[in-house]
Amino acid sequence: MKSVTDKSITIGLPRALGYYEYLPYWRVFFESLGCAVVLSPPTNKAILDQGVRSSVDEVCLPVKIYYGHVRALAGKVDYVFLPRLISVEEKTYLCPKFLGLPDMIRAAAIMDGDYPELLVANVNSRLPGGGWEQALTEVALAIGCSRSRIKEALRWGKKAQEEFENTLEAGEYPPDVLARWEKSGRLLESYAPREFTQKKLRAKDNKEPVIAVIGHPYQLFDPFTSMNLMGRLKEKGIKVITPMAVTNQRSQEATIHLPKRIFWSFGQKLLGGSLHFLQEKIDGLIYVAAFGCGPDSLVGELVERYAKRSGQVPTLYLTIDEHTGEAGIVTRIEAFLDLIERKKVEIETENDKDDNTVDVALGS
Amino acid sequence: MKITFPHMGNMDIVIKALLGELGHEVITPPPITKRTLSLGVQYSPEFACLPLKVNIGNFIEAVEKGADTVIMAGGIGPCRFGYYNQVQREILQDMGVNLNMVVLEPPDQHIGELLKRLRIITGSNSWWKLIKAIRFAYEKCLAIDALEKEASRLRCRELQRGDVDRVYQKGQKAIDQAKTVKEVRRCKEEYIKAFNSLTLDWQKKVIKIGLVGEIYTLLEPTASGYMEKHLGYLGAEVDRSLYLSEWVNEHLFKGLLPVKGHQETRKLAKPYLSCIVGGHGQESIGGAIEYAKKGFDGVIQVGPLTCMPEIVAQSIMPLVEKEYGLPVLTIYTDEQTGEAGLITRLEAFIDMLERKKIALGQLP
Ligand code: SF4
Ligand code: SF4
Repeated sequence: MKSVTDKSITIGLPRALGYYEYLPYWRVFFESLGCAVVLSPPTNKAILDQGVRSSVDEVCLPVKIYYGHVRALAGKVDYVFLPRLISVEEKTYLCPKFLGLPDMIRAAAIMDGDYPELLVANVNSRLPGGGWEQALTEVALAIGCSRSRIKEALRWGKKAQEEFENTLEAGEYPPDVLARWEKSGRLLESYAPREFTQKKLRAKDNKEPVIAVIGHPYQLFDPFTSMNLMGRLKEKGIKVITPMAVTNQRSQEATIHLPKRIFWSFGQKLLGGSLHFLQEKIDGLIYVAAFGCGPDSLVGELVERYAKRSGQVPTLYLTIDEHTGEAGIVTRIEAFLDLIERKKVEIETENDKDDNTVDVALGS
Repeated sequence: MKITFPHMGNMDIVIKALLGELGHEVITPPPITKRTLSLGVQYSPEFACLPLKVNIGNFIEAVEKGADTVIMAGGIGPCRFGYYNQVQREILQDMGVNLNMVVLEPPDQHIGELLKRLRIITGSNSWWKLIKAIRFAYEKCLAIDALEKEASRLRCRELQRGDVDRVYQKGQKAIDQAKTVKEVRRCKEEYIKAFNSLTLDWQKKVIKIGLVGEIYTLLEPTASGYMEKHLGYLGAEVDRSLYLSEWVNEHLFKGLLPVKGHQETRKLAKPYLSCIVGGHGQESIGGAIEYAKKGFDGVIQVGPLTCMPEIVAQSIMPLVEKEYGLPVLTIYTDEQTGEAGLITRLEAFIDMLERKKIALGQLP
């Protein structure tokens, strides 16, 4: 195994799955250790095709794409960082595929070679002291870093991650935030987060429709797999909000009445986020299910049912797979936007004098 | 209170024994038919896994027969099963079906939650009575498993198509009707004898197939297109990796009884799949290895379409196949799985195994 003492080590980060939520942490951590970080290219046709070839048919699209991204790093890096995300919050889990992912990739690597070497560590917050710190420490030790250096790198990494999450919760548009960390992991000193404090927007002043788009970050913010849904909405002048802007506390509050706690942390985020938005004044809600996603089949179902019961908010349920035609998606979005427009006009004429304010965090 | 429960193989016999002993009025859902399935499909989320849909069908049909309370198992992750009940509750509510759900699962906050729910089942029965009821039900479970196991072993040797299943069905009925532990044991012995006094072709060289996979498709014949039966008719001796009594012992009695558990199975899986992935993913990998070691000719992995733990296992299985020289066929089932198509696939697999054996000189 190559170690830090043999000059610089290059760590590859696949631009898929956990990347969309933890890039700042990972990148700053490894760079602070003195490693070089290489990101796989944005998802493209070649990566998708490679992923489809390397994985079993039945696996969900985001995991297929993950295979493609790991392969894309072969020959370009010393190691690919492949954390096993078992649990990122106490008493919760990620989905079974996240739990099995390193073993799935490892099996593929043994079967057809041509894969980069993997750096695997378990992230399991169900165990005391079993979270990110432990996992990152483990991999850093494996490549020969000293404890004191690791401690320092963890400090920087955590700081970057905190800042990232705060900015998201303040409502900045996630791809914009992510883009800063994609450029470099060294923004830490110079970058000061903009003031994004929860804007109070007068409903009347807010001419553009506000649409909550619900889905896994790795689905929503990968323009290739989401058929650039976010971009399209923004082009139409829609204000887009996502569950990434909802704090844990708000999300918990929104689901407190449910008889059963949801044990998937991302599921809580999607369901809690949706219920939170449904209480706010939004004009529409789009649930983007990942193709072949197990949890989405249940979480999405609940979101749809609760939205229907609340009666006010038009809802669109989208599933995008590798064969979905662009035209189909465009038509569906346009029909949905028309529906929202009609509804908005109706409501506006009804309660013209209503002076309600909405308290939502908006993407810019 | 009229209690019902979802079907899963012979579980109805066991639950009926338990609840009946405790003095409850039990409504067994009608056997699973096309109607059950289409009711389930009609009201369930499209991409949910099959067991959720069949459960819904069972509940609706049980309510038609007068049930007002349903007992079911729950869970705390990581797989969908643990969240079934919440989704099912909402489905039934939107349908306007009144069914009180009692979910037995590890408590989230406090052991009191579970005790309160158990109280509904135990009622005012004494501990002594409760233990007796559990023992009686478990005895039935063991007996029926023994018969089922024998049937799968012998079907391929019957000279008169249907002989084995006639005995099996009679045995099922007898065990169902038995009133005491003694009687249950007598039934078991009597029918095991009855199997062996059938005229069977003991000279026949048969293919040995091990079944691994997800519990519902393994235990509930309608969910696997009666796979065990068809394999028998195609000339294969079948062994299954999981029986209800084993599951009950492992998960409810925490392995207190000297029944075969799956600790060893999971240990065998570790080098390939090092972490639990929910459901029976690890057991599928470990089970396949066990069968390879026992010299089985092939393994069939079965699960509901989109089953996450099985997809993880399937992704890793090629490595097991290669290292152990073991052919594995993965079959997913859903509401559209037809028996005819299934038989064709099983036939092709068995042909392949036979040719392999002939080439090795192990079959004439
Ligand atoms: S949560 Fe869904 S999309 Fe994500 S890995 Fe699991 S099954 Fe795939
Ligand atoms: S193990 Fe498979 S069938 Fe069971 S809940 Fe999970 S995905 Fe569904």
